[in-house]
Amino acid sequence: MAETGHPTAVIQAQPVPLKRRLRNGAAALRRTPLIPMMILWMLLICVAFAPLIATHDPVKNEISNNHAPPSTSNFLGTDTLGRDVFSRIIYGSRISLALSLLVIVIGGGTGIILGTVTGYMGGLADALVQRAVEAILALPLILVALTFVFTFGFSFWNVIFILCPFVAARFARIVRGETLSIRERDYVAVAKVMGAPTHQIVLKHILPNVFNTVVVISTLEVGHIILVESSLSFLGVGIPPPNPAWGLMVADGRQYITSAYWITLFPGLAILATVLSLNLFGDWLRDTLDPRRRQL
Amino acid sequence: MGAPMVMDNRTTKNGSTLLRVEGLKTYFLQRSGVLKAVDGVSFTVKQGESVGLVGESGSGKTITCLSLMRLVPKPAARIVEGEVWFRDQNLLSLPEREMRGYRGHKMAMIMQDPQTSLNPVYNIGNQVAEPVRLHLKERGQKALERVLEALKAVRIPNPEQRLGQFPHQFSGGMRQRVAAAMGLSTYPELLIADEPTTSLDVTIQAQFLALIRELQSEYGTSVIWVTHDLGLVAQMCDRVNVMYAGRIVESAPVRNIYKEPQHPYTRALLDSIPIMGVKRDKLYQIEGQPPDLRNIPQGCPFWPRCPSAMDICHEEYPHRTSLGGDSFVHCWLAEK
Repeated sequence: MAETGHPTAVIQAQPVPLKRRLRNGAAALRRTPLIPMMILWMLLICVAFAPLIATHDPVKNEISNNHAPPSTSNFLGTDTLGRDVFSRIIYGSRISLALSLLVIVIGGGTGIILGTVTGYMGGLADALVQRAVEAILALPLILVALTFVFTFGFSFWNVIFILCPFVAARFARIVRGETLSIRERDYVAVAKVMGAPTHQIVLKHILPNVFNTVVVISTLEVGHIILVESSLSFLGVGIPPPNPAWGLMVADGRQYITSAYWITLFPGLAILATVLSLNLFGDWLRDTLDPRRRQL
Repeated sequence: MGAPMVMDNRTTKNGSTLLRVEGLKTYFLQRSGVLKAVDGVSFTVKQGESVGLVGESGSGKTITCLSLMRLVPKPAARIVEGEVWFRDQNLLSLPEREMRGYRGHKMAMIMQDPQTSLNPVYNIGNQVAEPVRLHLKERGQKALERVLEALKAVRIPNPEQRLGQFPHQFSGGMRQRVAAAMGLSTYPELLIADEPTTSLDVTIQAQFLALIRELQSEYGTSVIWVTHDLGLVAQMCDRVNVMYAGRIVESAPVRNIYKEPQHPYTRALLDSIPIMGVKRDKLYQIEGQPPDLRNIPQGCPFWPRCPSAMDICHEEYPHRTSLGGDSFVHCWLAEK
């Protein structure tokens, strides 16, 4: 495409001065959420290399050494059964992250598809899906999950199964709203006038424009799912013990919060740091992906 | 197609009929009744010709154009009757799949608002390439060349550099040019311009119109101008169709429309243009409101506002009176 002798080629070829490049780089760095990204990287490393990082077996009891305060042998102390809190948090990251990612991919994916397709097409399909969404959103999540898990038994997959419809409903609702507004934009009309088939309009014009929203709700939902999983575990119907789930650990320590605060505090901090980082990261991602904001 | 070929098959390049609309009726079926947005519209567009579709807001101009494209808002609106012949093909009898081959390929449309007619997430090159990929089935380097050619055709400076930029980096006039480039990138035979200049300021508007005219003489494209700007019509159109309450009430070459308008509505429209240098206390305006299309008055729909209404106007819709050539008017005054 390089046109020789074209006047713009000359303008384009002029190098950006080093000083300005540095300044631009610094500005970009300032906008990047470094701390949240570091926390998320650490989380990913924990997930990937849990056996290497953990100092103890997360499910091995050592009753003689229970409620030990943080020390050099147990960085974050031990719990009621003498298990190492640090190792349990490291292993717990696997469960929390796997659970929320699976729910986002399955539930969120379903919600996005339903939201864009029915939102764009409207009519009976749209009405049916929206009534279903309303019905789901009207149910109290914790109560339904409690009943479900009591009936069908404790397991990782049961928790995922019961969370997916709720997440799908949220996604479908928000994405559909967005789709309705995008559907009326002129560029969708232009695409129709251009003779683009429906699936292409949904894929090329609707989906990329709801993407910003999807990114933001996904990061928010991951935080939400971790919290719900924690609540369920706290109530004793989430991830079955002795698996090291963060919410379960908080629940375990609640009786001893005055005498052995570390059992509750550190898993709680892990939840807090993860959820907060995800939200900040999501904000940044949305700004970065929006072509209009990228230039600012 | 099994449709009877009743139309005469003139295939000479210039002056041959490109589009022929016959008795087109598009109704909105509502709970409160039938809204007749387009009620028996017939007109023709010849190869290379510019045709104006003029009327007040709500007279059915836009719905007429959307009907030509078969893109009336579903499920509310329905094309209930009529034929739209594009060369030898009745578009209304085509299956949807084949119809898509016409849209954006043989007939393109430019929208009113350049601010929203481009998708903010794609760069310009990508957007202009979409019809090229879709209809000309060109990809990669060939598509890129086609896009550059289209951008050059609409006089966008430095098209190579502009390709990678996004819509928000373009001014309104430039975006409208990009929209035009998108429409023209597939060499359509018919371009429908739905009030393309309303959101542009006067200088940019003049530039844009000059550009379209240039392109028209270059490619021999026919254009339908949908507008209520009679100045634009005078500049750009060969023929004018004046619409009122979903019908064409007068159709004539542009010179005749301005010199000797036959229908009182056309006359009223022309009178409501301010004339430079002539001082008037108040701008002329047509009394009353356009009729509610759910409840069009019996007879000629214009009679409640017509300064020269007669008894017969209340009773019966006037027949078509030929004014010589293809020109006609629907008015009892002309019939006498």
